[in-house]
Amino acid sequence: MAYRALGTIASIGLCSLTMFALAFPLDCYFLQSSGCGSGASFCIDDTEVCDIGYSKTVDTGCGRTGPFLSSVHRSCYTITDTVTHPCDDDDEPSQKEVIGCHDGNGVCCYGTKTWTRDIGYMSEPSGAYCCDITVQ
Amino acid sequence: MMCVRPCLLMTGHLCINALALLLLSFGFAHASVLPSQPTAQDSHHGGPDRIALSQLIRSDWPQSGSIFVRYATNATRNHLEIGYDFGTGAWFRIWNRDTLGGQEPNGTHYSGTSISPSSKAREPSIGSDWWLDDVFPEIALASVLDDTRRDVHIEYMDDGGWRIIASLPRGSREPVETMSDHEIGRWGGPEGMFRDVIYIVRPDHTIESVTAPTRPTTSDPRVMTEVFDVAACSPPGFQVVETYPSAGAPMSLIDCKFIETGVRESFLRDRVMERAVTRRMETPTISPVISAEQANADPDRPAPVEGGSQSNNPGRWAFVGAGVVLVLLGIGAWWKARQA
Repeated sequence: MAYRALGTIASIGLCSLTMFALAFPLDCYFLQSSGCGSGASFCIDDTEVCDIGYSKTVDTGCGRTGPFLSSVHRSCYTITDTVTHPCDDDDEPSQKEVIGCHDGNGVCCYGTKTWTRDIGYMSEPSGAYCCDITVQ
Repeated sequence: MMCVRPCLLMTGHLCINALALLLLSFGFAHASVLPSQPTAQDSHHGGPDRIALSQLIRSDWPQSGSIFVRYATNATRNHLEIGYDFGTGAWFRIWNRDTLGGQEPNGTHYSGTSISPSSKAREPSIGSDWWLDDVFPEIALASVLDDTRRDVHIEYMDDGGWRIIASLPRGSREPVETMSDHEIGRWGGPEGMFRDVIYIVRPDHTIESVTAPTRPTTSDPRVMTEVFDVAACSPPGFQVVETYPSAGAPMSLIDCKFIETGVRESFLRDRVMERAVTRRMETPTISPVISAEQANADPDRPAPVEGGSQSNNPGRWAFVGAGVVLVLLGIGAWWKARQA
């Protein structure tokens, strides 16, 4: 009898977890930066970008799922080794960082970020690494 | 470093150096090139001159052993760690909090981040070690000379050094095979993306400077010259730079170790990942958790994260509540069954 009850509990738990995952896929949060430039000046070396925060609606490459458990410095960086790459391509450029920039046409910016200064704090997602807006 | 080269002439490198110099002399004489007077004849696409010069540079290097260097600025807010194994050509690079990559002793190339569950293995390609260029510039030049796909023009300088002009895609050794069409297009397309990069080589074969464009547009290329010094810890015959000429802020060498016996296991992907995680924990970029009041008190703080936190979604909480109720019902049923 006890085993039967345990089986019922397990089934109910599994069922509710599955329904939860299907109904509410995890959101992926992407870094957003200012100073990205536009047109010919989009994503070029030796320019300064600054953290704005995280967004779950604007894909800038890859990010992390929630929750937001930690606060980190909001900083500015000089970017080098820049390359443009489709935002929806999960195969990111090798050894490049997400800059937090998109050009509005599905093109994102990757490169090397060299810290220059802090301008405040921001909350940072601390969940799993993700590259799509929703993570099933 | 300048005094190292004469000393090498007293060692076993004598024969290799002499042979390479002979080949170089033959090459220049054959092309009838006056020093510092480039002509079309000394532009090569894989001739003996470039290979001989590459061999000359490489012949100075240690034949085995591993070198590990670390650079930092501003109390390690910027941090770079690089290793290179002379015996296998394996290498790794860890940049700041997240980015890592390298090549294992068996040739497998990988890249990833310290927060992703596993780094990605990739097919090795020519130039994938271009991350070493600003720390070990001799590797950069020797690799360019060896890559016969690229046009190279060599001039002999009056001081005994060389001026080498290489035509490289995007002005870099970085492989273009994996780059997007958009990136190639903004540099002028497959045919138009080549830019001149100028290497100045001292008579002792160390690299003095590299000049390369930093912007795609040919009308405003913003050429940048990086000048390379030589760290006192450099192994005999191999240049390690004391100052990493990063564009944002030059970084200083804070640690430098050459292990003559080589440490091949240090170049395995898992070991590099462990090392990156350790560095991530050490870096002061992550601030202590601050209260919401403190965060919101910052006048420059942007609007809250778009869409808000997932935990604020009422539907989500309803589901969690329903799940808890169901689990409690299950526990109740089990308890009742146990009593019966």
